[in-house]
Amino acid sequence: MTALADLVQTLLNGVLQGGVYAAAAVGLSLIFGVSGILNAAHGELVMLGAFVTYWLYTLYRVDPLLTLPVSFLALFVLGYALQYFCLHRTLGRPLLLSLLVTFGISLIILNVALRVWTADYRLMRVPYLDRTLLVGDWFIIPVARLTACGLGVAMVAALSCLLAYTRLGRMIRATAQDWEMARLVGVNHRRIYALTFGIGSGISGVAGSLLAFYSPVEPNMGLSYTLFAFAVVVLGGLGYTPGVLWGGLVLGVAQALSETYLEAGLSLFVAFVLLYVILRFMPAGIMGRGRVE
Amino acid sequence: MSLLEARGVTKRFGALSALGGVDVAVDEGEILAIIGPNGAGKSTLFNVIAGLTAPSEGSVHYRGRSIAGLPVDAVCRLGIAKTFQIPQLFPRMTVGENVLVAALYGRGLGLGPATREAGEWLAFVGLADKRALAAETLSVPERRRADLARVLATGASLILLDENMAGLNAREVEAAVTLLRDVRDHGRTLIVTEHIMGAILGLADRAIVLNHGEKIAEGRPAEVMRDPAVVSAYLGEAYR
Amino acid sequence: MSSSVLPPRAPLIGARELAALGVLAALVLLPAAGATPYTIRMATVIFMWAALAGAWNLLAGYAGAVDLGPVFYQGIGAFVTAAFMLKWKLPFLPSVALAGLAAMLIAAVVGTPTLRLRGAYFAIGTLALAESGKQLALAWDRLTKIPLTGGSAGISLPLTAGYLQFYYVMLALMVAVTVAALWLGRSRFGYGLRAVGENDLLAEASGVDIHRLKRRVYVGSACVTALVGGAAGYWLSYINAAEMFSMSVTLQMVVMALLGGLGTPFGPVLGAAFLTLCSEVLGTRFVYHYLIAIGVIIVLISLFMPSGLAGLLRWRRSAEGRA
Repeated sequence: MTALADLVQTLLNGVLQGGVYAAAAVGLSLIFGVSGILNAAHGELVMLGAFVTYWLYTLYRVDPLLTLPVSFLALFVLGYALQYFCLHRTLGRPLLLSLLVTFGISLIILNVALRVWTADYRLMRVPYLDRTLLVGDWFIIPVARLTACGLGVAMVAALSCLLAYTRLGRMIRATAQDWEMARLVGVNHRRIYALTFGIGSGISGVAGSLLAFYSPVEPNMGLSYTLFAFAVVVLGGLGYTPGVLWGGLVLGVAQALSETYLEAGLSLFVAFVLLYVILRFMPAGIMGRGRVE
Repeated sequence: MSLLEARGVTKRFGALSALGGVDVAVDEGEILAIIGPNGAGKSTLFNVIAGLTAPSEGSVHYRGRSIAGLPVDAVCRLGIAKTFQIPQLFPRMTVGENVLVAALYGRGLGLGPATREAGEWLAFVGLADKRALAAETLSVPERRRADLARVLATGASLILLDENMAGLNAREVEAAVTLLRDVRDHGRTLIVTEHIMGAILGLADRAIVLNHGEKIAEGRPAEVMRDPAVVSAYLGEAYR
Repeated sequence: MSSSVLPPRAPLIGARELAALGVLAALVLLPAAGATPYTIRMATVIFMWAALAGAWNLLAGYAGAVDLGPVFYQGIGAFVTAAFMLKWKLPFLPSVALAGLAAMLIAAVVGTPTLRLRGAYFAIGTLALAESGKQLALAWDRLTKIPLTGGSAGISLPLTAGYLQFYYVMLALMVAVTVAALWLGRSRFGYGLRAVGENDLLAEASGVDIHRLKRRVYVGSACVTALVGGAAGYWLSYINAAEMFSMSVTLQMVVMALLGGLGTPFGPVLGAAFLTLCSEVLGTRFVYHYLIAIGVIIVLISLFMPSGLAGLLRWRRSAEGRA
């Protein structure tokens, strides 16, 4: 019985982590789908968001939930600026170029963070999030993880609605499909790209904040999340935004299983194996809705 | 036995059927034309024959050997090469080196012999004086000629020319037709697709007409072009 | 019947090569000529980076495949060398050679599927390979119960007082990759490889077995990188997974090759010399500044020196908008 209970608990953990992964990946998916930029600095944006929440709570006792909008705003501004002043030059150029430029940017952000905050691990301890829910007698659901997952999934849903139903969403989608055409009908494509990058960055920042609810934060975590996000996006299908929910789920569960039954420190290895298998055998993602380059 | 025999070739892209059960046979030393309106499937058929894409159904035999599904480089080494509608290059390598690569790997020669081969073909297409320039400096008509030289240098017995004469004026077309007849006299077999009917009439021994992925006529070029089915497929298209 | 398709072939030993041979002779004789230990150590570091950057340059500069995970093989080289020296008590040179062999085998297995990825996907795939390799290395001892990597604590190798052997080993490796690059400029294999780098689809359509050629270079690069890793590990006398598989090594290799001139035989040497001297000047206090500067360099070169990166960006005539 306990073997089954262990399995269910593992799956639960995986699902909860998967929701946050989806939120952490949807920004990357959005940016790639719209501007065709593979953002190698994605994980650093997540990391910055995590630190925003950590410092606001630790230094000023701001309620973590209230830090979320701040995190969004801060990263939105950063992302907007990055795209508008720097990355717009990579439009229409090969994919590898934007990867390299964002790679350089990630280096800069990472090392500034290391310089300022050092590589120490830091963990937030929030009393009301520190509790756990008990399901029946066997299953533990930490409130912090549940909150993070719920908010993460809600954010993905909100973004999907934004893209599908709002005027801004239509402009973004039009620009994504054909920016020259969109420009002809009056859409300022440079601003749309910047807005998209800003929104994507903001969401990534909030995802980082959600991570900070229960996970230690440190500057080097960025690279891992870039790779996780990439795995999630490829798993769910490149350019197919709702796919991140599936991708996150698969990655989260796979990692949870590996942690319980194999060894704790293999999260990246699992992500790599999944990424590999999918790129080789199902390049259009699990649901087959992704773009194949 | 025909040099090339393609039977029942079908190619589907998702729900779209680009080719539906096409049969093509070419004899050694022939010049075959494949014509049809835009979107008829000519380029797709070429890609299947050259190995750039595998057919969804059907078979392709070259010298009696099945080649459907083989990788492009293997098909090239066996003796089938294709030019590109939008001419492709190795941009920063010299024109000479562009052709050299084909002689080295398509034909499988050593460096010395390949160099001589490449030089001959470049002279043949009239680009010998450009051999030391970077390929990206060539004009579009020059690129087409370089593409032809490349294909010839691979030693391919069966050469597929995908609208190689597009954009040429009447005088240039005539020169191209003469050149290609010369190529056939060198012992190669050609399959040509063009929109320039005058060139087809002057060049091809036989013609096949495709429309919506299916063969609707086959025979001598002059007859085929008078076929009412063909005329209606091209309705509106002026005869050059 | 016709003139040669190539301009008269550059002589095997031209002015440039003579100059290089002269410099090489000087380097070989340097220790005997009374250079200080500090100079020798600096030179060894430069040779090491030149070898690493040069190995990376073979795949990226000539074949056009940007590998972001070469450090994976450095780590393999270091730990396999350590294993042979500590467990089987083999001397240094045979251990390193065996480590190179091991790396080649692993590269052949891993490289075959990975090299089918193209462009940015290959880059991310190799990056993921290196990072997960690092994780695996850190967890290896616990996971497999085979003591190989020492987890986060690392492994100590036998101490050695001699620093001259490393000078010559790194010099030899640097010369090897430079000669390989020179050879690529004039050999049949080189033409095929450069064709792959310029337009891989066209190369394939011209009869080039692109996967075979790329794999050979990948395996060769991995071997050199592993040999450097093995030698560096013994030199440092202490290795740990986090450093030996660290991405910052990849970054420096990339920047040195980019700065010095991608796709040129001597570019990596120049880049390695320049950056090593820079970091020496900045000293250990400024390690973050150095890395920040590298990030800035990558951004600036990528954005404003497109001709410098033309080899990386595999320009294609059929204008593809984005990928």
